[in-house]
Amino acid sequence: MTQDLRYSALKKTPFHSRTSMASRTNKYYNWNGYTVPTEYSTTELEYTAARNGTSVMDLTPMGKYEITGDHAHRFVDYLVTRDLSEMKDNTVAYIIWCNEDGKVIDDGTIFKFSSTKFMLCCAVKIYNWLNDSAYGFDVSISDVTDTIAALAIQGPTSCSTLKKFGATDLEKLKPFEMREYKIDGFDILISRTGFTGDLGYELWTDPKNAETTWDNIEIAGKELKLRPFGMHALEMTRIEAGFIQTNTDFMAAEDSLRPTRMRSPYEIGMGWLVHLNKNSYFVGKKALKKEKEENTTERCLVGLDIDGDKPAHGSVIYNSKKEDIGIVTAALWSPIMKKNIALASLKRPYGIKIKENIFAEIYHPEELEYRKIWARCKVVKRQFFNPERRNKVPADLYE
Amino acid sequence: MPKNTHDVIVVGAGHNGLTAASYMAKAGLDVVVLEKNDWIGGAAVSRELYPGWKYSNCSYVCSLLRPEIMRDLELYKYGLQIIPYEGSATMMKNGDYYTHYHDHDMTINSIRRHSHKDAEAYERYSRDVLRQCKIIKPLLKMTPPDLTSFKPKDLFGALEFAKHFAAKDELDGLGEKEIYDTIRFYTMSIRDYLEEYFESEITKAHLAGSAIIGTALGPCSPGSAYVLLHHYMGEVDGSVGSWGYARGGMGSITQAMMGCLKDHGGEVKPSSEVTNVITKNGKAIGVATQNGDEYYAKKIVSNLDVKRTFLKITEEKDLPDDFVRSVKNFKIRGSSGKLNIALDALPDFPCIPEGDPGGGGDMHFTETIEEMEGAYDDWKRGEWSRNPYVDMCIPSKSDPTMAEPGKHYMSVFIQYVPFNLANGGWNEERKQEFGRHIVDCISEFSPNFKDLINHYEVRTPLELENEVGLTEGNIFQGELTMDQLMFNRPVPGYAQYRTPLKNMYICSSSTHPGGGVMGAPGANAAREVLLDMNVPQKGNYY
Amino acid sequence: MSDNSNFDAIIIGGGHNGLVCANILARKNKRVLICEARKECGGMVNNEITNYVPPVTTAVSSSLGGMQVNYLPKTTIALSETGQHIRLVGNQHIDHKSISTFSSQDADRFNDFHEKMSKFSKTLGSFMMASPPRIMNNSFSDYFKLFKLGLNVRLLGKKNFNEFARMIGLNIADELEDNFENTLLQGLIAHDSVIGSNLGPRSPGSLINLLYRMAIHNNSLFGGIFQIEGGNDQFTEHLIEKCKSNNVEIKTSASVKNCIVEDDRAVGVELNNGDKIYAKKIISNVDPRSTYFSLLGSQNLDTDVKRKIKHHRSKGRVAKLILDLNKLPSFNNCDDIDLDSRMVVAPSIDYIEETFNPSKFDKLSLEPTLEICIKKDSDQNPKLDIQVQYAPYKTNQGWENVKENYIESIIKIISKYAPSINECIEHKKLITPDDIESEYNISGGHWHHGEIQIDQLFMMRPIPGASQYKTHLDGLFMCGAGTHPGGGLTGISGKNAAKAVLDDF
Repeated sequence: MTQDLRYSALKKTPFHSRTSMASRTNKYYNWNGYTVPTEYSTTELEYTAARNGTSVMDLTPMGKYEITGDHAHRFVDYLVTRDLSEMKDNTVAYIIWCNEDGKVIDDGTIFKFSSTKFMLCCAVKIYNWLNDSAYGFDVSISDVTDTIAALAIQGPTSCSTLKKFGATDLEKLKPFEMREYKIDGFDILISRTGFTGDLGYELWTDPKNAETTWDNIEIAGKELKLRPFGMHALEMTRIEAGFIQTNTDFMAAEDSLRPTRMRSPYEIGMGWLVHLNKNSYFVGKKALKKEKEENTTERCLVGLDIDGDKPAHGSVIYNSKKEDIGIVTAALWSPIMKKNIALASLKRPYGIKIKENIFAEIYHPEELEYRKIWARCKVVKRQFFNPERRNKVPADLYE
Repeated sequence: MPKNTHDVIVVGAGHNGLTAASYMAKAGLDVVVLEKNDWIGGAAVSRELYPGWKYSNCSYVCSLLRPEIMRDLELYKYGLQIIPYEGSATMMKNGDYYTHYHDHDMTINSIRRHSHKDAEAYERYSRDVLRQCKIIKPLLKMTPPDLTSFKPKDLFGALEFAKHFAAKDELDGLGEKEIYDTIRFYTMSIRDYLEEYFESEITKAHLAGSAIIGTALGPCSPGSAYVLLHHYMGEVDGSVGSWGYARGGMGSITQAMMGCLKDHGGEVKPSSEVTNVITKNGKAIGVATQNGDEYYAKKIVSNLDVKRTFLKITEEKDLPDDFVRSVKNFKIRGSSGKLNIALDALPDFPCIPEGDPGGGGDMHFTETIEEMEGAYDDWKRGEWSRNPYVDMCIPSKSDPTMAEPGKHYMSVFIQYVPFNLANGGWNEERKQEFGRHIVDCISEFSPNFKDLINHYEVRTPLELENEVGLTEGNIFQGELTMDQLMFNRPVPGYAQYRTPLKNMYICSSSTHPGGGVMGAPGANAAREVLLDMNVPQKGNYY
Repeated sequence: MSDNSNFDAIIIGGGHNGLVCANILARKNKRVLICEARKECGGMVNNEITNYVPPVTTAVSSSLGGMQVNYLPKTTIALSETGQHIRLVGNQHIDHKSISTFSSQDADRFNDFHEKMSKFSKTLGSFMMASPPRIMNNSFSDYFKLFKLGLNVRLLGKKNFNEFARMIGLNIADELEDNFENTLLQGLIAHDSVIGSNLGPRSPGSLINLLYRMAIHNNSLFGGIFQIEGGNDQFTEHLIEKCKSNNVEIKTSASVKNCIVEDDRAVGVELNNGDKIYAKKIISNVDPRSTYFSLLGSQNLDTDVKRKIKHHRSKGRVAKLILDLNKLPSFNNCDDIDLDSRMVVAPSIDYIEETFNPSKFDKLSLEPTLEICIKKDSDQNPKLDIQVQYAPYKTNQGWENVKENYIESIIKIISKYAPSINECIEHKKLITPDDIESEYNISGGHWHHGEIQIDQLFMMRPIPGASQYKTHLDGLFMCGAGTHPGGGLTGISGKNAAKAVLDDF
């Protein structure tokens, strides 16, 4: 699918005819140069579908890159901080990668088809970064963002929906595994991955197959409480799951204008993905090793459980002496937990050693006036919501 | 006390002279501005040289004019408005084109048509250039410290300068890496700089244009990357690096400044060419004009370039030898020409599809850096470029005041054109030949262009010198090379708007931060004059 | 592994910097091995490539325990088609007299110019002898060095300080045209300012190039040009001898494939024949690009570093033409002493600029500038050794297709000064930058392993982040001309690198 890009601002995804038909609000936003719905009906109902039935989201605008060649496995292992040397075929891994200063560029998922073929999915554009990094490796990088249509199918009934759609034995697929199907004559890749922190899958196929797939999934999920789901609802679920988002919870190192805004993995709670004892070198290893050895990590990204019910959007966080110690990067009144939760970037030792006596200054708009709330916060695990069904094998079925 | 006595005399009613005059008048001083021409504005003028069409016949677009100055002088009140560009395009011989738009995503899509890598690299490049803009922004408003002086004022000035250079306010400070990036940016050639980001020739050629406009450097000359920054550090409505048209032509800038000046009791006298500065006991006390008038004042501020100021209206005996020698060595080279064209209708540019806003701003047809450098090589030989780099735009597309509806004014800026033309210099015949050459070049990209021409004005560096008073026709009143920037501008040791002659100041673009219709030299100079006169200053600028 | 290292240090490449570095380390009782890929050490310092050498500085020679070679000073002569040659020896009095035969004003100005330039080159020189300080490295010694440099510049006095600040970005053509009226003199100085670089006389920055050259030539424009008695290879011969007496082991025909990296440290080298040798420190005398991409290996580099090395500018622009002669032709208006001089063909600034123009885009100019040196081969037959600038590194037509034509055009230029040259030629050999690259394993075939321009100098040489002789890999150092202060056969890089290595022990 090639579009004439001359004097056009935003591109349309291969699902556009369907998503625009499904949208009752006509609310769109710019995601990576594509126009996609923010909301189809109401965000609350869409959110509920993700925690109650099946939610479907157009994922096509995600950056997707195919890495092929003899050195593909070595290259991927060199690119990311995580030790992937033991990664098995047909599995997916969550990864982050850094620049030479050990500052995070982005997070994403890597799909391994074989030791010579991988696919990388992420939020920011990294075609350039991949190419520059690949210098000296026998690999070729292609940007397949436009040539692979992607859907997220998430929620408790998602496995049943996809089984009905034609994905046999899908319930046996373990988290972070993937399987290739042939449905209606088209290759469809299904991975047990997602951004909602619930049972869920992602589906990858040819753009030519996009509309049919959308239609058939809608039919399959008809009795399984299926709903299309927009960016706002996704934002709610991902905060509950404690997932981070690039350029929201941290600035991508390649995009930040101010050097002081760049963050190392340790500063955004991603230290567990850094394997300094990995045998081979990886981009940023030297700097990260130094940071670890000299203990120069300055910040941390934590979950906050905040008093009251007013979401702390963009709030400044203070200690008991009213000193500024950080900022809320994402906030939510969680409908399912009935908790006022937030992700916050704090200056250490706050959030690590000091977890008490932390306050958020919340400005809550009330009919042209702001109510200023001084709310006590508790530092908690970032993963606020983690249902058992998420990782259950075989997955729950509703038949 | 002799008659015709004022607090301050400003010599030359260009935008910097008027800016300085307005600030001083606002501070309560009695200011008179003397202008040699019978019109006002220097190189920022709108002139109706052909009935029905207004030409911005020197400078033609605006970006660098500091918003703080527009705010302090309330220029909107006196009719100034800036209209942003819709796009900018380079046309290609194969019929294709390359465009940047006001909309970021459109720009990315457009670059991607030519190179996927470049489209992404453009984002990193924009970030790096924006970082440099943020670093330089506070420096523009500063009087450069004298690094050789041990006066507390200069020591603190140097510290302040260093603090801003490390971008403590704008960027939260820089790291070692960013400092090196800055040094590299200031010293590299634009070709080498762009090659670190881009792979396609057209991307590089389109971006490199900003690095050569108005300068006697080529894209391969070290230091040209800085010239690019000089063209990027402005803003239109907060959008850094954007360019726009002044509604009503560039003259509306100086007209608005004059409005402000008059409202605050200042006076402008056209047709009063200053012939010499009157000195007494080694101090400037007044000026004499061509028509025999004499004016006296406590302070004299010159809006003329440094060569005219010190080699023409000041006597050498009043100045130290070293200083005179430095002024003589000051590099001020004409390298640009211009065509102002009255068109009966909008010309077709088949490369740019109809409805594409890419043609709504500057248009070019130089496809490679090599072509651009070749144009420069011609100039070094004293010839006008056979394959010139042109920066053409049609302000009347966006501005309803330049020509009658349906009719259009087109401004064509040409790089490179020598001041000293080889083989006998400029004469009327060669000037017209040059004009025809440019029209032919444009016609290659616009089949109906020639038929639409009603009238055109050809401007060579010689005209710019004779008419506007820019020595050698240099549009920045002095080259923007490292040896002539900041502490070194115009002359090392005299970068603080004061001159060796007591009570004489200079506020032209020959001083920091340089040319480009910025107004900053004028405002900075006014600050120094007010400081020396112990007059309190107010405004957002200071 | 590093515990059973056989050597304290392995130096990859036996160029003069490598030899200097090896000797200094060995004098501090380190066991040093030099691995040289070619049959003999010396790199580009040999009788074929090197025409002239600067005197070795006392700092370098004393750290080697003295250099016992004999330097013979050479006169410079700017050839003129009319026979009005200019001869300069680097002595203020003699040169003044020599120039005043053309223009007394130029002669006076020359003295002033020379005095000023010398002063600045001394200031610069004091900075060249040591490892460059990094900005904001939070190291006291770096801050101290920066402060010292700043102070040195400040101590020049107000007037000179201002002039120095102005000169950093200046082009040499402007400065020469402001000072001199004689175009031949302008051409000669301009030639020396741009030689070995990718700049023309009108390129900003060409003046600092000249200061750089002066700093390694006794702070003199023409007084630092020497040949070594017995041939320039005596320089390396002498260094090799010293190596022997200092127990430095030298392996020739030992080309290194890559560094052995263990635990993110360089611990040894692997030769192309498969041998592995281990040592505590590895020092690379090869150019930065090869050091990073071949020795270090791109799998051990951060992406940002790759970006920088990829764009490190190191395209050579100097070719060498060697003409073997059956007899020496006579040069118009030249006596025997003149024939023993460095003869420069660079008639004017414009001439140089015109030949520079096509080279920017790897195109050929058939009217290059020449620096002619008359030598004798082993059979006492004369030969002309000619440095030719600006020769492109690679041409679009391919060197093999244009070489013949290029040689002829150079001979044609020489025949303007030596009309009978054609009859004397026995054999011609052109060495292009491309040939230098393959023969001497220098990427780009650049004299200085990398352009001498501000963005690749001082703390940014070769690339920011690797400026103090350390590479991005622990245990791997650099000592070649690609590091501060750069090429020019001074051995300073080798000396400074040795200090950095010793500090690391």
